Amino acid sequence: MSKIIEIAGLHKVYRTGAEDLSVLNDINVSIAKNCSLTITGHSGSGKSTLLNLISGLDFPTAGSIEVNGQRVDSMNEVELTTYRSFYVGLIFQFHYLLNDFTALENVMLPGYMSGQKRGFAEERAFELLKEVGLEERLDHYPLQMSGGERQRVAVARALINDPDLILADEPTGNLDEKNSKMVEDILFALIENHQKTMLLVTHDLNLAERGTRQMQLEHGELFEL
Amino acid sequence: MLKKNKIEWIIFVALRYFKAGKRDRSISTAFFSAVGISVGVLAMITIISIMNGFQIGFIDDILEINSYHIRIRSGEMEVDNTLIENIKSIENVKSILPFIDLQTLVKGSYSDFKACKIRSVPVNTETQDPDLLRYLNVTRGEFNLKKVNTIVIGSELAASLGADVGDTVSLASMAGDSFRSLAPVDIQFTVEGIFKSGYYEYDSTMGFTSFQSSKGLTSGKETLTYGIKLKDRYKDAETIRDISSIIGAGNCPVSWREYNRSFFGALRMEKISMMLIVGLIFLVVGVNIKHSLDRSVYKRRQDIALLRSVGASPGAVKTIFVTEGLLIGFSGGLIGVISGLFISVNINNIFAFAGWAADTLSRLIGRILSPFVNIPSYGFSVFSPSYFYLNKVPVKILFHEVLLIFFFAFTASVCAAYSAAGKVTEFTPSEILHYE
Ligand SMILES: Nc1ncnc2c1ncn2[C@@H]1O[C@H](COP(=O)(O)OP(=O)(O)OP(=O)(O)O)[C@@H](O)[C@H]1O
Ligand SMILES: [Mg+2]
Repeated sequence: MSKIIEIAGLHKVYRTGAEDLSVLNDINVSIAKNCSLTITGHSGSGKSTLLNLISGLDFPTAGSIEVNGQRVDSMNEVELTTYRSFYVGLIFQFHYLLNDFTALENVMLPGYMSGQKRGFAEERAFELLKEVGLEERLDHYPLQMSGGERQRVAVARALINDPDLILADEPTGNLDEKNSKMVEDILFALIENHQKTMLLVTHDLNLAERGTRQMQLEHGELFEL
Repeated sequence: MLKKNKIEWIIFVALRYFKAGKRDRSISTAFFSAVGISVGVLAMITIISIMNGFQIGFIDDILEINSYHIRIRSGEMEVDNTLIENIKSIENVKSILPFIDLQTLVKGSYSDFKACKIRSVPVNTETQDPDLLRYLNVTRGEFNLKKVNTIVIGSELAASLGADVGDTVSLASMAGDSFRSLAPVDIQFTVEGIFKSGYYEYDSTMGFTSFQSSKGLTSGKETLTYGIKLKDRYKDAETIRDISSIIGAGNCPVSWREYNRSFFGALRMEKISMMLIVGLIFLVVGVNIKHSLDRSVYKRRQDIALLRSVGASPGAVKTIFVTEGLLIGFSGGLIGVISGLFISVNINNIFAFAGWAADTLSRLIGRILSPFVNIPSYGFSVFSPSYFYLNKVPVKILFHEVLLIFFFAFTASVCAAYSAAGKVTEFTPSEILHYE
């Protein structure tokens, strides 16, 4: 099976004042295409840090990250912009949506930004919102929606540019059980349908079990479960 | 990578942010910035328009009443009618009037001697130079010099002489063609008309009489000057060339620009310094916009981080905020231009209203306080003719200046936005997304 992510000798040290905080110590992992990898670990173990490094929102102290054969850790700002619009879709714990934009606009915007025609992006956004069961809420603003609904919008948004890789950082961490279940189901179904690779960080061990591959982050290192 | 529709989506987002401000319960900072710009533009347009009104009023009075656009000093004592006809045939010439200026002393029945410049003109001046009469604005009697020893004088001069239409005044001058033969002469003139041009100097020191009447006051050897008015006074150089080709280069014509240079220069200086001082408003407005956009950037740092994480370049995000500044500058400037023009056009009504309001208020207060104190009531009038020489504020709106003011305001806000937008890259998206 072909690899989508290759991480070798990855270190991340945060320099905060006098003390250095070593969060990631020598992470080595390669991840196959179309797998769904779940990562667990206690709070502060560095899960979000790892995802931020893979998405190019942060830079490693040492080591390399390759996604689809491209070195993310040495990309410049222009390359990163392209990379983030076309190769990765991000979902965050706090379902960061733009509050001044409707559900449809939130989903459509990354497509519009990446060069799609507005009409085309809106059409795609509509399809995706239908897939996450929100075709009735297109014109609603985030503040008019429930947490679960917002997170479903975020899931749809992550897919608008048809990226190979989805990075989800505790997407259900903020939701009640019923909503969590719904978002999880939708997320896994979409990954399946669209043939995506997903890295999902979670506290929830039941959710972690749904991954085709499961790992744990501890003391800055990744272990297979 | 350059995207074709990059500008499109940036405008889409910026417009939304600009509008979102209005929905915000804490009235948007963008709104206040736009109001700041409007007030600046409004103030500047109004001030400059009034200033133009005064200045252009002065300039027109000077050119139309006294100095003319082009002057020719002829060496002759007699009016040369063929010369007049020839010059009149030049395309840009509106009118031509021969005249002689005399320095005299004038005395009313009960007054002292006053210095007075008497300009003697043809008896048919009203047909030869109709604009002169229009600007002189004869308020009492008429501009009629057909009878011998009649005179038309300025209203201030008339007042200080205690003379009205029909009264006689004495004019004194030194007549003779050499110092030895100079002899004081004193001739009685009848006041036929009184003018009030609005230009104090002329109203207080100028009078008009006919060639025939002025003969007795002079040695009879004064030479004529021809005053020419142009349809377009800015084409003076061309017209002077045309005139020279007709009358020969001997008695060189002089343009209004030359003999009024220092006065017009002073007016221009005055205007430039006023523009600079009022322009300081835009410095304040610019700083204000920068602060409000700084806050806007801070308030939206989550949005910024999110936009970055879904593929917006730092430059694109900056452009969003610059565009917001652009929208602030444009909308504020436009509102300022519209309200500034409105106020400028209606300034006299507004002053009248303000006067009326102050009057009413003072009377009201007077009535309320009347049991306790006795306040004499006097009418307020912001531009009362008894305080000011003019009873109306002159206004002149110059299109290119309005455009310039708008451009000032617009540039100020765009510069401010540009400097505020630099803050966008001061934080990294991961930090924001992580901690909130
Ligand atoms: N920008 C930063 N500067 C300094 N320290 C940081 C920064 N980001 C993260 N850290 C620290 O690195 C450690 C790992 O943080 P991280 O957010 O990756 O943990 P996590 O596993 O995602 O935790 P959680 O489950 O609570 O989300 C924490 O101790 C955190 O305080
Ligand atoms: Mg985390």
